[in-house]
Parts: sequence; C-alpha cells; structure tokens
Amino acid sequence: MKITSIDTILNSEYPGLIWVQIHTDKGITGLGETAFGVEAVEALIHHEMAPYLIGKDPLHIDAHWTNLRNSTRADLTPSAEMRAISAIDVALWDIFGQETGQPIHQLLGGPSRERVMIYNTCAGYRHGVRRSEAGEDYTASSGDTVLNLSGNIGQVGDEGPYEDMRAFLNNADDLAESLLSEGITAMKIWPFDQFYEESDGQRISLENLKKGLEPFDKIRKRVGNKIQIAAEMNSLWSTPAILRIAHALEDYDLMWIEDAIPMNNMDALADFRSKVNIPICASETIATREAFREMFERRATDICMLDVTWCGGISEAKKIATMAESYKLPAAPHDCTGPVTLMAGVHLAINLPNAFIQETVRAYNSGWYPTIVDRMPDIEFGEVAAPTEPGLGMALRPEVFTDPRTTLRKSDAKTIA
Amino acid sequence: MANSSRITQIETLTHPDYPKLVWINLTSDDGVTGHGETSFGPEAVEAFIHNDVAPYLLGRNPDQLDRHWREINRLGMTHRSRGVEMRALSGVDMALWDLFARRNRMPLYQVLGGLTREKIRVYNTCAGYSYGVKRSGLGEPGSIDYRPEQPYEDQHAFMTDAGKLAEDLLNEGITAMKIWPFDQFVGKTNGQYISLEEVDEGVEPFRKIRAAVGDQMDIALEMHSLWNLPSAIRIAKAVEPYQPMWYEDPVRMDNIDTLADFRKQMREPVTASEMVSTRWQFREMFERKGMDICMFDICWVGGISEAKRVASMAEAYNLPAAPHDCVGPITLMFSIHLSLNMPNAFLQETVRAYNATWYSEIVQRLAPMEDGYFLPPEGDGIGTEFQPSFLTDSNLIREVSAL
Repeated sequence: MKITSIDTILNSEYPGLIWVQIHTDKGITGLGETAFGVEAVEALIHHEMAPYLIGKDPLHIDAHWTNLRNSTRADLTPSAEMRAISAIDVALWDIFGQETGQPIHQLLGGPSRERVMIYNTCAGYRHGVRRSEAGEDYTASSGDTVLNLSGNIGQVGDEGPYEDMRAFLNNADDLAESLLSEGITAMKIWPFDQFYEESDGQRISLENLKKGLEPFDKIRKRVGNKIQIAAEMNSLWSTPAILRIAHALEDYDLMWIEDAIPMNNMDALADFRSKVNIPICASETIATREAFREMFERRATDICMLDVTWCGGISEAKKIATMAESYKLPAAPHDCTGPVTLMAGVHLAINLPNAFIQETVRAYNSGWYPTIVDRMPDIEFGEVAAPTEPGLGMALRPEVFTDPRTTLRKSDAKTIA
Repeated sequence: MANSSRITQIETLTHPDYPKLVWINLTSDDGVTGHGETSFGPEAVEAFIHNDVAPYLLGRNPDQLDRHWREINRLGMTHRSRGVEMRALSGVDMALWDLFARRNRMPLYQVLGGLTREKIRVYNTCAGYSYGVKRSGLGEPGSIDYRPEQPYEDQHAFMTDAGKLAEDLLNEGITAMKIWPFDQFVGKTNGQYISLEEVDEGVEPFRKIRAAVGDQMDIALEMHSLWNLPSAIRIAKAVEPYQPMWYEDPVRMDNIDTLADFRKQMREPVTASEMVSTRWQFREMFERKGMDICMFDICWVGGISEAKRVASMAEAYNLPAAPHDCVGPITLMFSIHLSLNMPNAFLQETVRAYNATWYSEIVQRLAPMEDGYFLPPEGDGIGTEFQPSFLTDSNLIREVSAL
C-alpha cells in the first residue's frame, strides 16, 4: 500500500480546527485532526511533510513518526510541527485499522475494558475551537486562555440546554444535578480563570478566592460527594497564587487540580505537588515521551493528562501512557478539541491498562461534533463503549466538503514534484 | 523618543533561493522599520505571523517589548523548544528590538547595555557555500555541496584536507574552527551505532589539524544531536586526546538528564544548544549541569530579548555564552551586537563561506571583521539594511498585514 495524496481541510466556522485525510492506492482513507494555529499546521503538512510521505507505505508508522520528528526537529511541546505529526499519525492508525479490519483499540493491545467512565468538561457550545460571534456577550471567564488569548473565550449563547460554563459560574448546583440525571458522575470547571486578568495571574485576592469557591460549595451542598469535581487552572497562575487557591480547594475532595502552573518548569510543578493535598493532573500542554519522562521523574503529577492530537498522535500517546504505568500513574485522554480527537482518545482509554477516565463535552457531543463526523462514540449514562468499527470508526460527513466555508488543500505526486 | 507610537505593518519576506528563511519587517507609524529573521518551515512561520500574531500586534505600542513577548508566547502552546510559534516569536522580537533601537537612534548593542568589549573573537563553522541553504525535504547529514571553483568550500576541506584548512584559517587570523566529521556515518544506523573503524576515520581531521598547526587552532566538534548516548560517548572519547574546544549537541536536547550524564563522563567542555529555547528550558539545562558553554540561536531561542535573558542566567552559573550562526545575515548581525554586549560572551560563530557570498547578496553590510574578530557595527539598530537588488528581485515574495 502507498500514500497517494494528503488533504488538509479547514472550515471558517471552526477556525481552531484542521482535519487531515491521507489517501492510499488501495482506496483506504485515514482521518486525523489537530487544533490551533491551523494555517501554520496546514503549511507544514504541505511543505515539510507531504513531500516525504507521498509514495511511502502508510503502515510504517513508527518510522514515519521518527523521520518527521527528526526532520522538523519537533520536541517536548505541542508546537505546530508536533500537532501536524499528531494529526498525520492518527490518520495512519486509521488506515492501519481499516486495512486490518480492526478497531484501533484492538491494534493497541485490545480492550482492557468494555466501557470507560467519562467526565463532562463544562464548556458551552462555542468554547474552544469554534468561531466567536461578534457582539455576543462574553463572560469574564477565559476558558483555555493559555492556548489562545485572542479567539478562544467561552461564550454565552443559546444553542441548547448545555450552556455548561454559564451554568457552573452561576448555578453549579443545578448543573451537577443535571449531569447526575444523565448518569455523568464527574465534572470539570474553571471558576478562577475570571480573576486572572486583574494581576496577570501574579496574585489572587481573598475576596476573589471566595467567589471562585462558590461553585464548589454549591455542588457539595446540593449533591454531596455523588459527583467528582476536577478544577481546571489552565496554567494561569504564579506559584504563590495557585498555592492559595489549591489550599482553599483542599476541603472539597477534588478528583484533581489540573495545569496549576505553566508546564515549563517541572521542578516548580513538583514543588507545588509536594505542598498540596489534592491529586495533580498534567498536562495536555506538553508533548512526547521526553517531556512526560521529565514530569514523571520529578514526581510532578498524579494523573497523566494527554491530548492525542497534540502530544504526538496515537503512537506517542500509547508510549507515554505506558511510561506512566511504570510510575503507577493513571492516564486520562483530553478532549475539548474536536470529534476525531475524542474518538482517538476513546480507543486509547478502552485499551490502556491504566486508563482513568475519558474527557468529553456534552455540549459538543450533542451539538456540533455530529455535524462534522458520520459516527460518534457510543456514550451512555456516564460511560463510553468500545468502538466496534475498523480503524477510528468515523469519517468526515459529506456536508463538510460541500460547505462553502470549507477550504480543502491537496498534496499529491504532482504538487510535490 | 516618540511616545504612544503604533505598529502599523507586519511584512514577511521569503525567497525561493533561500527556501529555509523568512524575514520579518515591523513598521511603526513614524515610518521606522525593524528587521527580524528566522529559519525552517518559513511558510508555516509566515502563516502563524499573519493569522495569529498580526491580529494581536497591529496597532500596539512598539515600546512594550516584554509585554509583547509574553502575549505572543501565549498565542501558541510552545512553553519550550523551538517550534513554529517560538521561531515566529523570535523573528518578531528581533524586529521589535531593532525598531526600538532605530527609533532611539542607537546601535542595538547600546540598547542591550552597551559595549562590554571592543571586539569579539570568531570561530569559523566550516560549512560550504550552500550547506543547509537550498535543500528541501529531509536533511541529509554529512552530504557535501561541492563548489570547487570557490575558495571557501570548507566542509569539503575539513573532510579531505583539514590541516590545510586550518592553515588557511590561521592566515586570515581565525583561530577557532568547528567541524562535524562523524555525521557521515549516521545514516547507516540512524545514529544507533558507530563502528571503531568509522570512529577512527572521523578522528582523522583532528589528527591532521594538530599535525599541521599544533595547538594554534581551537577545534570544536559538532555532533548535531544525531547519536544515541553510547555512540556519542564513543565518539567523544576518541576525540578527547586532541583536546577539542567543545563537544556540541552530542545527543538530542529533549532529555537533559541524558546530556548531564554525557557531560559527567567528559574531560572537555560540552556546548548546548541552539536546539533549546526560552529561559525555562535553559534553566533546566543549567540546574541539571547539562553543559559548560551556553549556545543559543537568537532567531530560535525566543529572539534577542530572550537570548539576553538566557545569557544573563548563564552568567549566574558562571557559564559563558556563544551565539549560534549558521542561519542568515540578520541573525548574525543580532548575534554580533549581543556578543559585544554580554559580559559572558565566549566566541561568535560565523561562516566565512556565507559571509563572502549569499549573506552579502541579502544585506548591504555585515559587521567589520579584523584578524578573526568582529568589530562593532556602525549605524542605528542592527546597522544593516536589505540590499536594494534583493528587495526588487522579482522572485521575492512579500506578505503584508497592515492596519
């Protein structure tokens, strides 16, 4: 089998997402995805990677990963290069699965479980990679601020019942009940982000600290310990500020505290962990075995969070998770990204012996994800089931290609000649 | 100095003759322009600058240098290492500082803290004219672009007649040189193994140089992060009797514990690394005792401001700094300014084959060189401009984002 062409697909409604299709001479097409800086990723794929990949056997997955990593000098961080490699790697695994007639989780070593628990990241419909609508009322809270200050602010809008960010900021108790009524027993919220801009994260006042604790108070008062709560910090704070927040959060028996500080100093993260009585979760903002190795060796985390389409793809995610296992650490695939990232995460979470929980966003799963892909993971009553179709088990819907906001760019033997 | 000025235009330049490079011009509303540069994946850097950086930077006050560094750094997820986002930030930071110095009518070295020395010693990286310049796709370590009609085919020279090359350099007053005679063996095993015979062949240029010029020449061994740990140790131990000036990038720079392990076993200094970016990654390197000489590339590390910060941190560990240049003429000019300024400057890298040919086709002048030393450039900012013939070349591609 040979790779014949590579497509990148952008759509202006989702300016933070890019899809990659790898076509082969056997008629099999693999699908990949990554997020943020998508024009840079697109340029890398067509200029730096397609000339290498076209004509190659798509099943030499490890060799392609190593060669692309070496030629682009990508390491440690989800740079545009590493995101491009991640998207390509996912597409190659999809081809591998379709060629062998097996779901990816089977090729990774088979299901370690039939279903895996999910948690709900309490984002609204337009959080993250999707276009902001001009003139709409922004909340003060900035979701993944560290990832993209300019266009990534969670937004209030009414597309359906799951405006979960507005809900956790205003009536977290009702939100927790709503989630429990759907069988979802874990949730993630980020009520401190709204106070970050006051001091650029250098300090937090006692007053704001108290306001930030309100959602946690409300949840525990209404539903007790029936729901697990993760606190997302988005790497916004200085160490003394985050220590103040974390010490206040110790009373709420959290599932974890995530991305407490920027992930550029593992000694600082390890210091933070040594002073806080909450499990530490980190981080989808680092990439490759080498970066995770350092985090594990410095005892800087309890839970290994990774994003399949940023950390280096399915190949690298599996290797990282296996390393985590040797440190007795569980792994939890990230998704607040896109439908392909979610599906790839589910395959891993079904396979990994040390999978903890899979992230999902119900606003996305019931909203825009199904408008992009032809099949969604089977999520029911707080769990996601093992996918059964070969490969990833999903493809882009035909409407994606006819949408006037879509731009498809192709590299093949002719364009690289 | 003009107050509350605004950045009105960001321009990127690329040229098919230099397919790895991208230049950045930042213009403020008083009509002054600063220059920056970076290399590798220029189309991706260009895309990131126009799609992600420009919406933030246009209309901002150009004097808020540190603030812009922080905010542009947050546009990407690159906390460390030199991906597209960090290279774009580096080029933009360079242009911001050049603009700042020009608007204040000072040479860049003055804005950085003034001259610590009147001249800086150079070493010659023994590349040929087109080494790393015009290739596309995957790099091919050890391959030689041979132009025998020109006098500075220095890579061919170190592979064949290194003693004569050393004599030739000494004649020009250049007393230090960098070579990479082991790269040629990498391809066979992807750096997983090197045989004793290959090691012996790789040592040959060191033998020849010492035989020809004795200890008059400092010789740096560049290893390009191509080898696994035991192979890198085998190579370095074989070169040790020739007292190299340093071992550079012996292993990949993504595991500093491995690098520290390598260094612990060496008697000669370890230099690392232009493959490392930002104060955070260098902090780890310093703390883990990963190297003796701090090498960075201004157009990859996070720009001139980050280079200065990293060099100052190195000083706190009693380590010297040596700016990289095998990239482009603008980067070289920034490096010379920093090498003249920073108290712990060690040596400035330069490639005489480039200076004599394509660097001079792109910019109007380089810093003056005398007896193996660079002297302070004259003029405001970095002290050079693009050649008019370069700017009017019909193959030059300009992309502009403007207010």
